[in-house]
Amino acid sequence: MATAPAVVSAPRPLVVRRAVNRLTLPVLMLLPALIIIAGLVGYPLVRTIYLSFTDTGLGELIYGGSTWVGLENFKEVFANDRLRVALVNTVVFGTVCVIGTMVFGFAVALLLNQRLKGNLFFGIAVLLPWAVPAIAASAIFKWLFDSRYGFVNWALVNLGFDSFQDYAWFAGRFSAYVAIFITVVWQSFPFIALSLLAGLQTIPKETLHAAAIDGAGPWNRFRLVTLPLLRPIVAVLVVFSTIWDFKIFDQIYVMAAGVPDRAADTAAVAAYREGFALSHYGLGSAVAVVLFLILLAFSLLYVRLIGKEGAE
Amino acid sequence: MRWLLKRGWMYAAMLAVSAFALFPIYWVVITSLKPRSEIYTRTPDLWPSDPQWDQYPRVLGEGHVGRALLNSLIVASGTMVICILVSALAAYVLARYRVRLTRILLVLVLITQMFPLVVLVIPLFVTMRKAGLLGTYWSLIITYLAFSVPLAIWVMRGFILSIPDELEHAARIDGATRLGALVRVVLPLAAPGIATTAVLAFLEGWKEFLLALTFINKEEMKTAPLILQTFVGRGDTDWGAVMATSVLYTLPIVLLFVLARKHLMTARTAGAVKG
Amino acid sequence: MRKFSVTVAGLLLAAVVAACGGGDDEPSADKAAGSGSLEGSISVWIMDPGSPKIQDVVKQYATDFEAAHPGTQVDIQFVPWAQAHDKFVTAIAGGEVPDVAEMGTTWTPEFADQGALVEQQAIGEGQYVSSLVDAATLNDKVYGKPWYAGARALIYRKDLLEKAGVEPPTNWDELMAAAKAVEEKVGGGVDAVGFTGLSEHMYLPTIWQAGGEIATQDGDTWKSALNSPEAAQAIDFYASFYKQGLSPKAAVGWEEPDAQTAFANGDIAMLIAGGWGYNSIIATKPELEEKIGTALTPAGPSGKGTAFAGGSHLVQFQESQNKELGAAFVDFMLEPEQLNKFTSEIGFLPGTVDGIKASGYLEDPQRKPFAEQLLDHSAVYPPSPKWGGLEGANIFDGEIQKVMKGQETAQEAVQNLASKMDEEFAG
Repeated sequence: MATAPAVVSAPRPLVVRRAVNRLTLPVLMLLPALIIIAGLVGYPLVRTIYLSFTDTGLGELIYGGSTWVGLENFKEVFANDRLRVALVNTVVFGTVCVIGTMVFGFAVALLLNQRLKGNLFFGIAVLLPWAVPAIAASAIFKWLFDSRYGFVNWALVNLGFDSFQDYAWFAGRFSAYVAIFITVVWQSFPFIALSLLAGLQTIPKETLHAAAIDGAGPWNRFRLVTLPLLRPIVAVLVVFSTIWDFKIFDQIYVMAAGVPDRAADTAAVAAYREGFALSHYGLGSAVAVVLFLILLAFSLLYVRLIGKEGAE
Repeated sequence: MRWLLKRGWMYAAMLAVSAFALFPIYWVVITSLKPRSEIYTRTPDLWPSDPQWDQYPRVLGEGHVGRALLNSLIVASGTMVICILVSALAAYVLARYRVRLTRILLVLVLITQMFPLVVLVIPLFVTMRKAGLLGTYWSLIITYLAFSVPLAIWVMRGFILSIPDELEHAARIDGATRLGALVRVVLPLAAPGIATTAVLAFLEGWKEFLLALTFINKEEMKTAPLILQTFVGRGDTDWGAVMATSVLYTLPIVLLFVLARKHLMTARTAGAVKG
Repeated sequence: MRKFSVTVAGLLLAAVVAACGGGDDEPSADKAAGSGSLEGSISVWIMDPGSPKIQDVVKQYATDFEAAHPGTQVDIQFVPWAQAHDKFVTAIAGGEVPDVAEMGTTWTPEFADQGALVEQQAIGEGQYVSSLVDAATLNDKVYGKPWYAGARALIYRKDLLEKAGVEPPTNWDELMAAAKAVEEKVGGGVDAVGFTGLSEHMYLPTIWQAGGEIATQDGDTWKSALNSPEAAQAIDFYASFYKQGLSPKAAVGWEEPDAQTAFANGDIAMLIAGGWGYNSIIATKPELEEKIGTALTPAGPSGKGTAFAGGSHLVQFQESQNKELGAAFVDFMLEPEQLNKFTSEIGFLPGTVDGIKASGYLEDPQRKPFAEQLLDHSAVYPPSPKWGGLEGANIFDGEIQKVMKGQETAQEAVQNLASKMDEEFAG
C-alpha cells in the first residue's frame, strides 16, 4: 500500500529513473500484494497440509500433540467409500457446472454485446443473481424445488408433467445435483457473462470490419477473430470457475443434506464433516489436500496453455 | 422481415434469460410481503393477498438490519478500494514484464484459492487473535483482500494483455513516465476489467458469511449476512423477515450495478489507436 | 430509561427474594441479593432465538443484572444455532472463549472432556430436570446447569382422528391402527403420520420405547447398544409407516420443520413434536388451535413412552477471566421468573423444577403433556464426549433412510450403526 506514493515522487535524474525502471519497480509494485497474501493465507495452508499427515482430534487441536501418521489419512481418503465417492462427485459435478456456466455465460455476453433495445434492463437483470450470497441462494432454490410447496413442481405439473407431483428433488443424488446445478449456474453466470462482455468489447472493431470486408460471415468472424482474441480471458475464467465449482460448500451442504448416506457430498463438505463434526482433523485436512492437488493439476495444465499465449 | 427473424429470437432469448435471472429474486420479494400463513401453501401465490409492508421498517429498526448494512458497506468498500489499488499495479507488472517467475507466481496466486474456506477457518482465527484484530472491520477486510487480490490480478492481467504495448510506447515517446502511461492510457482502456474487479471485490466483502461469523461476535459489528440469522430460531424461521432482509441487502448492489454499468458494459475500444 | 430499569430490576429482585426467601439456601441467591463485590465484565453467548423481540428479552437480563450490580458489564452476543458448534470449536481451539454460553445439551460432555468447561458445584437434588443433569455429567461431575428443555410428545388433529373413528393412540399398536384408519378413511391426500428420515429425535427414542438402549458405559468407555433385537424392532416399526404409505412420499428426506409445515397445512394427521413446534404451528395457522390435541408419546412394547429431552445448558468456560461474575449471572438467569420470561417466548420449558411449576404448563390442558413428558418420560442420548460428533456427522440418518426405502433391513441398519458408533467411541 505504501508503494504508490513511493513511485509518484518528484522527478528523478534520468539515469536513476532508468535503473529503477528496469527491475526494482516491478518488484516493489508486487511486494505489498504478495506479502499480504503469503502471510495470511500461507499459514493456514501450510498448517492444513501439516495436519493432513497427522491424527488430530479436538484435544490435539487445542493443546497440540498430534501423532504423525504419514500417508495413512491419504490412504483412508481413497479406501473409504464415502470419501472416494465425494471426490468423484466433486470432479464430475464440478466439471458439469463449469461447462454449464461458461456456455450460458458466453451466450449471455454475446446477447449483451448486441446492444438491443432494453439492454440496460437486461444488463441489470443478468447481474442481480451475482449479488445474492451462496447461503441465501441455496435456501431460495431449496424452497423453489421443494417437493410440495415449491414453485418448480407446481409449474411442471401445470405444464403437463404429472410425474412431478410432489417430486422430491433432494431425495436422490442425481435429481439433487440437477437442482444444485441450476442454482450454481444461476449464481455464477453473471460474473462470467460480465467478464466475457468486457472482453468482447476490447476487440478492435477494425479487425472485425476487416474480416467482414474480406468476406467472413458472422460465424467465421466469431470463430476466427473473436474466439482467438478472447482466449486469454476464457482461459482465466475457466481456471477460476473450475476452482470455485470444485470447492463449493454452501449449496451442497444446504441442499444435498437429504440425499441418503451423504451420497451427494463433495470434497469440501466431506472435509468439513470429518473435521468439525467428527473431529478427525487430520483426515478432513487430507481430503482438502487431495482436492487441492486435483485443482493444482488442472491449473498447471491451463497455465501451460496460457504460457503459450503469453509468449506472443 | 428477415430482421425480425434474426432479431426476434434474440429478444426472446433476452426475455427468457431475464426471467431465469429475476424469478428467484422476485420470489424473495413477494415472500417478504406474505403473511406467515401464506408462505407455506400448496399452490404458490404469485402475489401476496395482504402485503405486509411493515416488515421492512420492522426489520430495519428492531432487527438492526440498518446497522448491519452499514457495517457491510464499510467492509465491502474498504476491500474494493484497496483491492483495486494493489491488484492493478501487480497485474500491470505481471502483464508487461517478462518476469521469469511470472508463471510460478501465477500458480502460487491460484493456490491461495484452492482450499475450501471451512478448512482454513481455525488458523485464520488464530492469526487474527494474535494480531489483536478479532471483532474489527480490519480482520475482515484484510482476509477478503487475501482472497480477492489474486483473482483480481489474474483478471486484470488478462485485460491488460489484450491492450497493445504500442499505446504506452506512444505515450512515453510523448514524454509520459511509465506510471503516467499506466494511468493515462492503460487504465482507461482497461476500465471494464477494473470495473469488474471492483464489483468482484465489493461483492466479496458484501456477501461473505463464514469469516464474518468466525471473527465477529458483537451484535453492533455484525455484517448483513450475519444479521439474517436473527430471524432463524431453533427450527422455526421467520421467513418473511429473512426475505425482507435479503431484499434490503440486495438493493445497494442493484445501485452499485446501475452506477458501474457505464464502465462495465461500455468500453472505449482500442479503436483509439490508428493502425 | 436507566431509572426505570433500576426500579423494575429492584422490584423484580424483591419479588424473587421474597418468593424463594423461605426455600432452601442457595448460595447464588445470596450473592445476587446483596453482594457489592461483583465487578468486571463478561461476554455471554446465547443462540439466536429467532426474533428481535426474544433477543430483547435476553438483553433485558443483562440490563437488569447490571442495574442490580453497578459496575458490572454483561455483553450478550447471539450465535446462530446451525453454526454454534463450529464456533465453539474455533473459539476453544483458537484460544478466545466467552465467559458464559448457552450450550446444546449434546455438546456439553464433548467440550467438558476437553477441559474447556468449569465444573458446576451447586446442583441440588430435585432442583433440575434430572435427564438434563445427566446430559451434563461426565465422570460424575456436572458441567452445565440446565437452562431450558423440551420433550416431544404427540400432536394430532382431533377432527381427522374422529373422522377415522379412532382415539388418540397411547401405545404402538394403537398408533399403527390409528394410522391405518386415518389413511383409509380420511382421504383427500392426507397422510397419517409425519415420520421423517432426517429427524433423529423422532426415530432414536423409539429404541427406548422398545426397551433398548442406545449406548452403555463400561468404566471409561462407551459401547453401542444398537445391535439388539429391541433396537431392530424399533427401527423396523418406525420405518414401516413410511413403507406402508402411511407417511408422505417426500418424508424420507424431510427434517422436522418440514413435517411441522405439513401438519400445519393439514397434510398429516399426527406428529411427534415439542411445545415449540406446537407454538409454531398455531402461530402459522391460528385456526388450527381448536382442532389440535396433544398427548404423551405412545408407549412401546416395553411400556415406556420415552421421548428425547433436548435443551440447553448454561456453561462457563475455564478460560474465563471472571468466573464469579459469570456464575452470578447464570444463577440470575435461572431464577424462575426470569427463566419463564424467556422460555414462554420460545415455547420450551424451564430446566429447573421450580421453573416448570411456575410456568403454568401443568395447568394448561393443551400444554400439560409436554411438561409431563419432560418431567416423567424423557431421557437423553449417551452423554459421551463423542456423541456431539456422531450427531454432527449425521451417521444415523443415512441408515434410517435406507430402511425406509426398503434398501436395507432394520437388522442390517442397526448393525451398521452399532459398528460405526463403536468406531467413533473408540477413536
